[in-house]
Amino acid sequence: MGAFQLSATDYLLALPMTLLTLFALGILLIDLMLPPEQKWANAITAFVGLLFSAKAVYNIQHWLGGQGGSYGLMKTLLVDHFAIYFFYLFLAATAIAILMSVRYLETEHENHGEYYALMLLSVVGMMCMAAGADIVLIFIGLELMAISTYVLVGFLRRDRRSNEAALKYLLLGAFSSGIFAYGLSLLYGMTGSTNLGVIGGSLAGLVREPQYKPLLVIALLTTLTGLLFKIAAVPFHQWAPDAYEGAPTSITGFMSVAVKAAGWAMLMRILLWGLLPMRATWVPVMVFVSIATMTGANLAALTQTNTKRLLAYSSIAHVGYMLLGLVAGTATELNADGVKGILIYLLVYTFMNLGAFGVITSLRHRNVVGDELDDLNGLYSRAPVEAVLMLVFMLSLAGIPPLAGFYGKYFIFLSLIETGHYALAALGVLYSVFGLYYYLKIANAMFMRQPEKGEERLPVSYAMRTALGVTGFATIFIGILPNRFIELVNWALGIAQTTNIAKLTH
Amino acid sequence: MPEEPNPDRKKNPWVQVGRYSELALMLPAGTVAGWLIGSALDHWLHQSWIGIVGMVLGTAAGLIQLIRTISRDTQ
Repeated sequence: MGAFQLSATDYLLALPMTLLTLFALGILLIDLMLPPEQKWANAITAFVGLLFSAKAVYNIQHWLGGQGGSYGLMKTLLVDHFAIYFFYLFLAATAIAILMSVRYLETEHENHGEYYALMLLSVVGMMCMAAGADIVLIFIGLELMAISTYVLVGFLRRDRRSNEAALKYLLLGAFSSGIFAYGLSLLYGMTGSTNLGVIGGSLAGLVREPQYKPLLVIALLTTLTGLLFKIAAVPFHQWAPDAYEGAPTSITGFMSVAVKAAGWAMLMRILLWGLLPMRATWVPVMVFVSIATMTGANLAALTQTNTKRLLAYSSIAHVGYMLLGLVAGTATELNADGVKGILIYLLVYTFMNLGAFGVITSLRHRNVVGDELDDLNGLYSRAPVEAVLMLVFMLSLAGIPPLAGFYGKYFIFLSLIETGHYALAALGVLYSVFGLYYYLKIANAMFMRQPEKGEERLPVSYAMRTALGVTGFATIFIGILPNRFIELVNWALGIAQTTNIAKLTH
Repeated sequence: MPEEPNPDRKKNPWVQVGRYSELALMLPAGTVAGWLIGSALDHWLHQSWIGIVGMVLGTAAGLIQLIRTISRDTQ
C-alpha cells in the first residue's frame, strides 16, 4: 500500500478547518498567560480565527469558480457550494454566539479559554459533517462536534442544572451515536464502501432485490435514529429541553442553530445522496416523525414557564416543519422548493433564534437570571430596544410576514402544495398558529405585564449590542429583501456535487 | 362574583383537546370567515376588493381573540 501524500488541493480544502484548529490550540496556550481580568482577549482570538477561516472558505469559493465542487483527502472531503453555504452559516452563528458570551461568562465567573477553544473545535466537526463524502469522516466530525458540545453544556461547573444537562446529553448522545455507527456499519457491510456516492450507487441495485430488504430497512432505521437524534426530532428529542435549559444561555443559542444546522447538513448529505435510492422507504418514516414532532413539541411548548425550555420545544417544532420539506415530492424524486425551504429555514433560523437567545442572555445581569417567563415581565419599560427586538424575533419565529421566518415556512408549505400533500400543508399551518400562541405569550409578558423588580434599566455590553443589532437587522432585512438570499440558496443547491441535488434546480 | 372553574373539568383530556383545537383554529377560522363574508359582499355589491378587506379584518379579529386568550391564560 502506497504512502498517502497530501496535495495542494488537500491543503486548500482543509484550510478552514486547519485554521480553526490552530486558533483553538492557540487560545488554550494564550489563556495560560492571561490574567483573569483580561480573559476577554480569548474571545477576540476566537473571533479572529473565525475571520481567517471565513477568508479561507472564500478562497476556496473563488478557486472553485464555475466548478461545482472538489474532492480532497482521498475523496473523503467534498467541498462544494452546499458545503460552503453551511461553512458560512456555522462561522456566522459562532461569531454571534461569541459576541453573546463575553459578558455572560464574566457574570457567571467562568471566563476560561477552553470555552472558546471548544466552540472552534466544534465548528471543525460541523465542517467535516457538512463536507463529508465519506461516512467515516462524517462520523468523526459528528463526534468532534458532540464531545465539544457536551463539555460546553456543562461549562457552568457550579450550577447543578448545567452538570445534570451535560450528563443527560452525554449519555443519550453516546447511545444515539452507537446506534448511528451500527447503521453506518451495516451500510458499509452491504455496499463494501464508506463513500456516500458508492453507497448510493450500490443501494440503487440492492433495493430491487427482495432478499436484502430486511437488512436494508434495519440499516435505514438505525441510521435515521442517529440522524433524527442530532436534529432533536420526536421521539428522539428528550435530551433537548434539559440540555437547552441547563446549558449556559449563549451555548443554548449556539446549539439551537449551529449544532442543529450541522445535523441537518449531515442528514441531507446522507439522505439525499447515499440513501436517496431508498427514498420510497424513508418518506413514510419522515411523515410520521414530522407529524409527531410538530404535535409533541407544539403541545409541550404551550405549557412551559421557562423561556429556554419554551424555545427548546419551539426549536423542536421547527424541525417538524423542516422535515416536511424532505417529504415533498414523489416516491423517487424530491421537490426543489422543499429542499430550498430547508436551507432558507436554517439561514433565517440562525439569526432569529440566536437573537431571541441573545435577549435572554442579556437579562442575566444584576441578579436577574432571566430564563423564566416572569423575568420578562415589563421588559418594555426596563429595556425597550431589547423588548422590541424580542418581539421581532418572536413574530419571525411564528412565521409572520414580512419577517425572515415567513420565507422558510412559505417554501416548505409551497412544496407540499405543489406535490399534492394538502393535508400535511394544512397541518403545518395549524401548528404554526399554536406557535403564534406561545410566542405571543412572551410578547404579552414583555409589553402587557408589570415588572416585578422595579424600573431599573438593564446594562447591555457593546458585544451584545452588536450581536442583537446584527441578528435583528438580518431578521428584518432577509424578510424585506429575500431575493438575494433565495439566489444564495439556489447557488448552494444548483451545482452541488451531489448529482441528485443538482438535478433539483433544473 | 365569577364562578371558579372546576379543576377536575380543566384536567379533563377532552376539555384540553377542545381548548387546544380552539387555539389552533382561531386565526385560520377568522381569516376564512372574513374572506367568505367579504366575497359574499363582493358578489352582492358587484365589487372585487371587499374579499381582501374581509380577509384582513378576519385575520385581525382572529389575532385579537388569540391575544385575549393569551392575556386570560397568563393572568
